[in-house]
Amino acid sequence: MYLLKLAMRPWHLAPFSQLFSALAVGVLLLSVGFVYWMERGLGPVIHRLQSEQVVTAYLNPQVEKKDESRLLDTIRTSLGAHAETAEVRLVTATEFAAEIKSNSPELANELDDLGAERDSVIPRYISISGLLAADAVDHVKSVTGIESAESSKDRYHHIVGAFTAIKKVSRFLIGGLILALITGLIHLSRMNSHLHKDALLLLRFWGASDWMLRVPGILSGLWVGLAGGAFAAMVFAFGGAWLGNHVRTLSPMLRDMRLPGIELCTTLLICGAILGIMAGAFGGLPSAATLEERA
Amino acid sequence: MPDALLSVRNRCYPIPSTGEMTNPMITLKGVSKWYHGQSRVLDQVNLELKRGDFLYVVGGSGAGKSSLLRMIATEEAPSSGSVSLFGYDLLTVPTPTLRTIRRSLGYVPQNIRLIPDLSVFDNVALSLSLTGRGVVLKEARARIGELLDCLGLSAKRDKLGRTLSGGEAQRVAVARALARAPELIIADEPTGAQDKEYTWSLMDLFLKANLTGRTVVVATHDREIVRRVRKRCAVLKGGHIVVEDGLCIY
Repeated sequence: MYLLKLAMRPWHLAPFSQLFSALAVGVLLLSVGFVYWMERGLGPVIHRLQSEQVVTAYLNPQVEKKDESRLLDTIRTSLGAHAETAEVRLVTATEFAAEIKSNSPELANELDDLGAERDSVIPRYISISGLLAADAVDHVKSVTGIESAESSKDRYHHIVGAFTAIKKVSRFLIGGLILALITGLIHLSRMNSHLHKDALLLLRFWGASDWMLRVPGILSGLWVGLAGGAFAAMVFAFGGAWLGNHVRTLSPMLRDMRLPGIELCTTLLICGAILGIMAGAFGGLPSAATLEERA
Repeated sequence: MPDALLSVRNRCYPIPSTGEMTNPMITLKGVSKWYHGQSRVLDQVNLELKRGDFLYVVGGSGAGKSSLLRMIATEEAPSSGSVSLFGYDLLTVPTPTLRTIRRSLGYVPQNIRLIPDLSVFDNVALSLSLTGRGVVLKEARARIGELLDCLGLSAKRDKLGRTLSGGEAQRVAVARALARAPELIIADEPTGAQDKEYTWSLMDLFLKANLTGRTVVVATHDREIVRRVRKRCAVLKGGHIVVEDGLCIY
């Protein structure tokens, strides 16, 4: 109880230092929260970009028309668990010509001009799209009746590389921001312990243990950490969805990023409290009040 | 001791008695003290006090009274020689033992050192809470209340330390030291800022503490106290100490 009262002394002795420190902690935690959200949110995006592919499997010309549906079933089976989400469809020469008409009308017209020969020029193929295993194309190639197959899986590799780099930088930034937070809080804690050095010296002089002497520092660190954490949590609670939506509109690729939720707010609050306690425990050591030579 | 002193405030000492009074409580051997760039304040001082002793430390201004008391109170180390409390040399005693020794001390420093943002009651209670003897809250409150009452501070118990006058702060410092029920009481000019009434109230408390088996060391320059309440007396002069058992002349 009395140690709790001592812990409140810095708020009386230097209220603005505590207040602005709490605000700075809040802003830094806000930055940590944003970078953490980016880091976590890019995970599913990268996973989708790596897994989403279109496999084009060209049918052997000898495959008869009546065997096409059996071939589709065989390919679905070869995809395993991914078959449920993947779209597997046979594309005939007519469908192919219709599909390219909008983008390349001249080519479509040239194909139409071929008449009956068109079906022999355009190969039948099966289009498999969706989230597939990395070796899906190999499985498809091994199906009897498939002449060759190709995959688009590496088409986003440069974007995946960029996002992976952003993830790594984010982790580094989180580490740096936490280091800055701890350093700032430790300095504050040290300043606080010097502010009420008189009381701490008395406590030591009355026989308080080192841990007991740390308690006021730990508690005052906790207040500042909690206040900063609460600030960051509040900002995310009220502005997280707005921020998340704006970031997601940057690219359709980012649609898999989850909006910041209540768990991020709670994490920031707890993070602030823990950092405050740690800083108080490490930085709240007062000057020694032992015999001068012993110190 | 004047009869009036004991009869008037007979009930005014709420501190439990201490144990046996046999072993040496304080031993100073060849203690010298000098501060940076200054001449010797104390020179080869030897002193031994047993449990239950009462000693005045007297001497003129700058004679080294406060230095001597600070060393006994574990606040300063001697420049040479050794200071032992409860049989432990303070320079070599392990830190946990030093902590235990400090919990057995009741020190009234000359510069008082109240925590200005805490109330009078909290200042005393915080000191009591650190004795490590697990005093029950109810008992602690009663003891502090009675001590504050004895020292005329009942009305000030909720006032902040910084709002007190010098004399009041000094009495709070005495209450803070005595509330801990210490085995050794060290008081540096505890009556320096008091009027006559409170001077005798404070001396009364120290004497009663001594009667309950506590060792008391009081530094004072008040000749009247030394004359009226005759006890052992250590006279400091020119860095040397002379201990008188009877009339104290300085």
